[in-house]
Amino acid sequence: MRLTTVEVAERLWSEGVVTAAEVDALRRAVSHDGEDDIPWYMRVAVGAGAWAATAFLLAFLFGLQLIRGDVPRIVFGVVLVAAALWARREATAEFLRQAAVAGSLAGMSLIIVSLGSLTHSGAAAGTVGVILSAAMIILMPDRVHRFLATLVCAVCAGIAVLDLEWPRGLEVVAIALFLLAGWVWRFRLREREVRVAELLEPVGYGAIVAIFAILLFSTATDDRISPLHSETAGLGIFTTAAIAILLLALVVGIFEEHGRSPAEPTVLLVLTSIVLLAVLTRATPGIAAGVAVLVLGFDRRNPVLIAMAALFLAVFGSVYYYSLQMTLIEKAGVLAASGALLVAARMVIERGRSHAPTVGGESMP
Amino acid sequence: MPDPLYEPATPHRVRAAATAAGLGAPAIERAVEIAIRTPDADAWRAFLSRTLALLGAALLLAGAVCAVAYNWTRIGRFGKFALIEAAIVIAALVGWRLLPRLSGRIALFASAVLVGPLLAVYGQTYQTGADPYGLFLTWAALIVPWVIAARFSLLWVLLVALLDVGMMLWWSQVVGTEDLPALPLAIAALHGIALIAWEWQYARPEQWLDERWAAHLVAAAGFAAVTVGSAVFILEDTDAGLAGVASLLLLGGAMAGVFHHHRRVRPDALMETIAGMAGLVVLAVFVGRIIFDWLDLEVFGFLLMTAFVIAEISFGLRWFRSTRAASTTAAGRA
Repeated sequence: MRLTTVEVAERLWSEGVVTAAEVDALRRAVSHDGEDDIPWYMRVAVGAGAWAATAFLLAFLFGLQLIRGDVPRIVFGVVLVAAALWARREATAEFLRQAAVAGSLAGMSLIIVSLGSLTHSGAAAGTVGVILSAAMIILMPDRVHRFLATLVCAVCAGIAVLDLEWPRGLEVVAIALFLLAGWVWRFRLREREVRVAELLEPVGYGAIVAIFAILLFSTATDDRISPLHSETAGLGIFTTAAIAILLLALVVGIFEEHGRSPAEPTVLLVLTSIVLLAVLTRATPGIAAGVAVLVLGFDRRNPVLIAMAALFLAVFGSVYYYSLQMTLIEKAGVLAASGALLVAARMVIERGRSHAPTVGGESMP
Repeated sequence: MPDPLYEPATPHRVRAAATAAGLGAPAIERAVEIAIRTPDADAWRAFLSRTLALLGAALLLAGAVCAVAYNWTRIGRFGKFALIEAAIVIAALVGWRLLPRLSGRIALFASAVLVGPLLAVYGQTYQTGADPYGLFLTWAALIVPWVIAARFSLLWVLLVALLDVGMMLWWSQVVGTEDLPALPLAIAALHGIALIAWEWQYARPEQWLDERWAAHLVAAAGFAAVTVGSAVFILEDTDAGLAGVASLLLLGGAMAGVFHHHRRVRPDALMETIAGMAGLVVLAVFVGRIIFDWLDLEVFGFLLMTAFVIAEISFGLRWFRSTRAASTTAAGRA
């Protein structure tokens, strides 16, 4: 599924855009790729280590009790972040670079937590956390740090709206994250500079993880599941509507890339299905979100996004059907009807595949 | 690791590489265009077909379960058996007719899943007094032929999961030992055997299973178990018993085996990363024991742990990049 550079090179060669010598030059250029370009599982491992190191560092700082008071801690946090930023930009030794990441995260935590303690305001701490995280995403040239900073940003935004008790505040945060994810993964990719693309890629992953985390949090505080229901924490119709609109835009974009007009019957059928899905699952935005990320993941040829979406669809799908205000036999009917509908849709697609022409291709020497 | 050209073609990687390779502007733009383009219509149809099949089957199965649950108290004991057995037979027949297609594999998966409820009803109806571990182990034994016939990674993972659950229940109900690392050690050993079997069949000219995610999942769970056992041994000393020592030895052996196999036989960076992480976690636990227990450094111990964890991250990254650079060089020479 993943498009590899060899497939891109093969296509270029078959179109006569490059020569065999240029393909070799491409191979050498790819082999000297940026040293921060590590696969997702290494980033997960490094990220987990960074959090552990940050936790130990914070434990040391608080345990030492040399820095007492919220204002000194904030000042120390700022100094720590600034030093970490300088170290990460200037250091070549891996140890110093990773120490800078842990130091930066510790400094950010000190600033945000101490500000909250000083002002007794989650909203103030959350707002500063959002601004600080956004700034660090731009300034800190480290993909793992950018991913973690995106998560910190989302958490701080959530804390701010929950503290302010804005009705549907978390919906605004979730919708904003979806817009961010859509922009990062799909908007103006051709014109995007390499530097900007490298900055945004970890932000894209962070936004998706944050969306699912917020949806899980909202589900956990749903009054149908838990007595801890909160008006502010609930995600519902507005989130589902926003997700559906973004999904419709994505699907229209995909069809347009294939030269299909939105007015065609097949396209209209697909768009109608999306609207129907949104209407039927309006109270559980997790399903629409899972479907949207699944479609986005395949569109971007990204198995990590697809795996995350599949996992969350299983969770939110279970929650949706569990929460239906129906008897067991009625739920059985709904489940069976849903399943039959999907199987029927699959049969239609299979019939279309068997009638579609296949095109061969040349292979590169 | 393979040729660097087999790296995923992200848009910025393609643009950066094409620019560094000195390609002309039209070639660069065309390369980026290809990298960001959505998959073709055939690929979309295949993806949607597979996804709809899996989701549709899951929903149909769930609906059937709900319908049976609703009517459960109204059904006599023979009716219950007949219902479940009929579902198993129908699913198995559908699977037999449709194999090796995906729909056939899903049908066999469904019949394998339904064996569990059948055994539960049997135990409930006849009050055999058997322990729950017997249900899971019997369930696992009965579905082995389907696991072999289906050649479906998800079904293989289900088999391993059933053996895990059966072993855990057997340990708590029959063995009942207070040897803390013993159970994780047993689970890790089971996963090791499963993994060796998977690698053996993968190396054959005609593979039985080829989806590596299943092997990765089993490996991750196995290494997690042996890491727990080793960590308990480090923290509990002799209280952990022989099982603790065995956990540590198994971890070392498993790591050596993984690194040897995936360096010389079948490159798999994710497997090496899983093994490496397990080793680093156990090492961190050991260093933590020294710092906080033996040396009793208290607050300054946290600073040392910070430095140690950062050193581990640095070492891991350096190892990964040097491994990738070495395989890139080898691929270039080839």
